[in-house]
Amino acid sequence: MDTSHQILPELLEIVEGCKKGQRKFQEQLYRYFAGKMFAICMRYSYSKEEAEDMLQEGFIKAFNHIDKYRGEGPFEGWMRRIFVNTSIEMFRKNSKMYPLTELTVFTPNQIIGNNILGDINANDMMRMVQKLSPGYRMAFNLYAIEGFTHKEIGEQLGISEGTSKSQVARARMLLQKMIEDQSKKKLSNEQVAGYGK
Amino acid sequence: MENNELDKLFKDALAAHEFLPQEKMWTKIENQLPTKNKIVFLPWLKVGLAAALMGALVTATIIFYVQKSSKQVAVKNNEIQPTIAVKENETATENDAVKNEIPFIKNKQTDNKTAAIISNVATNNLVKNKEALNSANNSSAAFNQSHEDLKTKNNSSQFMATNQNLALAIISKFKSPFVGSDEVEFNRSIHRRVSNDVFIDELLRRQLYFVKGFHVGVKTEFGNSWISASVPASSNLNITMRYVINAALAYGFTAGYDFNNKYGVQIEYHTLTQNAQLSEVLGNSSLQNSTLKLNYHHIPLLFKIKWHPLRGIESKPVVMNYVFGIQYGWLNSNSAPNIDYTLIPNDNAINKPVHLNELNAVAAISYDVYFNSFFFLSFGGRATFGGNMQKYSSTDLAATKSRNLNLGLELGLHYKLPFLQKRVR
Repeated sequence: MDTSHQILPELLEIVEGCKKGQRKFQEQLYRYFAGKMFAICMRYSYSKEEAEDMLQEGFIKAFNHIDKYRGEGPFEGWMRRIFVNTSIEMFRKNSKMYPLTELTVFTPNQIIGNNILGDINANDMMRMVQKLSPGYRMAFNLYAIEGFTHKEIGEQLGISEGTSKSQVARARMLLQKMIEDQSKKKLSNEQVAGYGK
Repeated sequence: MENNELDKLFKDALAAHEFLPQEKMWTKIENQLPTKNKIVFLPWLKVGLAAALMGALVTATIIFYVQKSSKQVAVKNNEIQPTIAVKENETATENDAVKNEIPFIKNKQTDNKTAAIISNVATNNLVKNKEALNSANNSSAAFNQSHEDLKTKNNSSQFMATNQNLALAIISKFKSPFVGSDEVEFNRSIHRRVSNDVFIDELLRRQLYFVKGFHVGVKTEFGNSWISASVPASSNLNITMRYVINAALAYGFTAGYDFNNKYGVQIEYHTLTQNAQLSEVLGNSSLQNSTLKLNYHHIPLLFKIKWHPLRGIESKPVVMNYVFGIQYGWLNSNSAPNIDYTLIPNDNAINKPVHLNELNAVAAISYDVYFNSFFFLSFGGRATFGGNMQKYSSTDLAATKSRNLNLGLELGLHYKLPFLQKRVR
């Protein structure tokens, strides 16, 4: 029996409480998912403030529409979808306000090894994603992490499939560059620390 | 690094990653959530429309009945004969009599057509003089000639004994001829104005209608009430406006003053009770039904424009009023006897009286039926529309502000105070 779509009993109680609009359960649901959903918001935003707005918007939307969750899939997936959709909405709403950033053309270092990557933690990666321009960040998140196809991304963001591919590709190049720079910086720091010994 | 490797690297690192937001975030979210025990009015718009339609039909039926009754009364000579304020010592000629007793005709005498029609009627219907009819159609000279004929015949006529009877006969027979002719509308217009003037004469003669003075009374009002409650935009609810319709019953007192036969003012106090069908908005936007009993106090301040198109119902004089004004009111109390408090834990605020001010515009059409010199019955339809000046904070209702619409039928019994009365024209 496939249990992946089943909701945890304690979570089921919380969800049912939220459906009745009971504040106690709403707070419990928030505490349960705040960390995971805030991480999603951070990934899709360029600043902490924007991520907080996104988090607020997403939870209010979740509470108001929680009755639409019929238990036909993992609840966390339902929540994630709400926050991803919220971020897409905010992106589309704010896209004209984002500053234009020019793509820096560079040749990525093809010899980045896993030993170097191992020194980069999730926080570093989050910062890297946040440094991407909004369009690249959105396309990369949707494609690489959420698993959208380029066609779906094009439909969601109102861009062509080709543009989506292009943006993901450029995002990758930028991220590789950032990883390379980060690795060099860490290596340099280690060397400085070694001389000091 | 291959593209897929890079994607996987970021996905593995970030997909399940957690960042805890600041503690204050929950407070911010909580402030934007709908109030836990939010109560809004049910969307019974269809019921409301049906009730409004019924109200309109009832009003139309009443108006039809009134008009029909007035027409029946109008064609009865015996009912109209006393309407001429007879002064036996008058010795005017027929022409003068017509002018004096029918001021409208006197004033509009310069219109040759009017003169011709009047002479036509008088001649055709009362004197049966076809030749006079033909001659009267052409000029005012014919008018004078026809009345000369009339005067001559009048001496030997059994039913044209007095000048007043002549005018009366003209009026009573006025709308019978010329059916289908171009003069029909013109005749009707004259008929209304002449008969209205005679009607006022009759009121004055019988002293049934004190056109100036005070009156007091009691009233009741039954109708339907809509209240629209707007949900704050920040709550992000799909439904931002909901409606309620419920029968409302009001009763209270009135006091008024008539300046003359055309204008008057009236102030009222009434208390209105309505059982509102309410619902609690749950987190999933579903509605939990409950009943809320609302009690309002209203003080309408009304201005009345009077019209006398109707001569009476069953020989009783009737005056029509166009009424408009403003109404100040406040919600005296509300209670929820049937509410399920298990759904609203830790909340008893709903039973506390509140003072919710509201300001409405009022429009009405009413009829005053005079029974005698002192009492008259008023009935009609009334509509009020307005908004609340405060939010329902203390009752925890959904609306920050709300609008209301009342459509109802009113019934009142009034007493004309015997002092300070004055008959004026």
